[in-house]
Amino acid sequence: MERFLSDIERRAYRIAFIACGNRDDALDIVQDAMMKLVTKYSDRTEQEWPPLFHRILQSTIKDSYRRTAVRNRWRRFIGSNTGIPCELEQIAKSTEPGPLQQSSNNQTVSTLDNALYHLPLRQQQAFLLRAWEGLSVKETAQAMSCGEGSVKTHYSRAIHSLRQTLGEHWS
Amino acid sequence: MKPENDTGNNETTFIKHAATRLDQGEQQLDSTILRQLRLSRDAALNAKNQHNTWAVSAGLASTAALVLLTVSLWNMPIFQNHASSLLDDIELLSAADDLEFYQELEFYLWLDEKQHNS
Repeated sequence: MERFLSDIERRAYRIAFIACGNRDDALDIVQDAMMKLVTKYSDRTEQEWPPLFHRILQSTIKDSYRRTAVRNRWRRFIGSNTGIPCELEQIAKSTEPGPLQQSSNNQTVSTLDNALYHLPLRQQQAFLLRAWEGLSVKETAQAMSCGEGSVKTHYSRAIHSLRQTLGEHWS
Repeated sequence: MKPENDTGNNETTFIKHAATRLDQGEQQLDSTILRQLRLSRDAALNAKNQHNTWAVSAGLASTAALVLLTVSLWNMPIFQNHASSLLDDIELLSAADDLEFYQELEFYLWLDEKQHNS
């Protein structure tokens, strides 16, 4: 189990960071996912761990997304502007290198991360799981808890949006 | 057909390019994040041990509680009174002798006393 977690933790962090745009939240998400896998599924076979972990990770990201949305709604309702700003949004607005640039130390990587961050969550998840993690449509559907048709639609839309956004950078 | 192939090739190239960039991002994570991830991993693995310890402790505690409850009930007066008659009944039921022997027990005791006196 330790070897599996050590192999997967960096990618898991990158997926979580691109989803939430914040280092601390991303680390919390990864730790939650690891905890759930270890305490609930460590007795399963090693072949079952990757799909289980991805499913847990995606669910934890969705939960975090919902919590953030509720928090932001309440902040708007009470007229508070004291919320923690998203690191990725700061980067997008700023011309100075932000935390993402510092962590990746590569402008092209940052550009891709920002483009992915601004995709709808489902498109972002479908793209990362299919294009980066190399999961099949069926495995991606299981990880995202949705149908295979939805995965194909989200993936296709994600590629279309990314190519439009990044075309000028990557042509 | 050719434009469709070109589109497909462009898409494949785009995806490979994106995957390479994402790999680079993974390789370039700073030492602070790597340390935090290691700590998270250790915490998760320790949580499993704590979870197991807790499960064993809970099992032992529930067994101990059950034993304590049984002993307490057994020592209650109402159970004590019934317990002695219950033991007599068990002795009667498990006896190999004929049941009539016990029914005529008083007669045999009287006969024995009579013979002893004479």
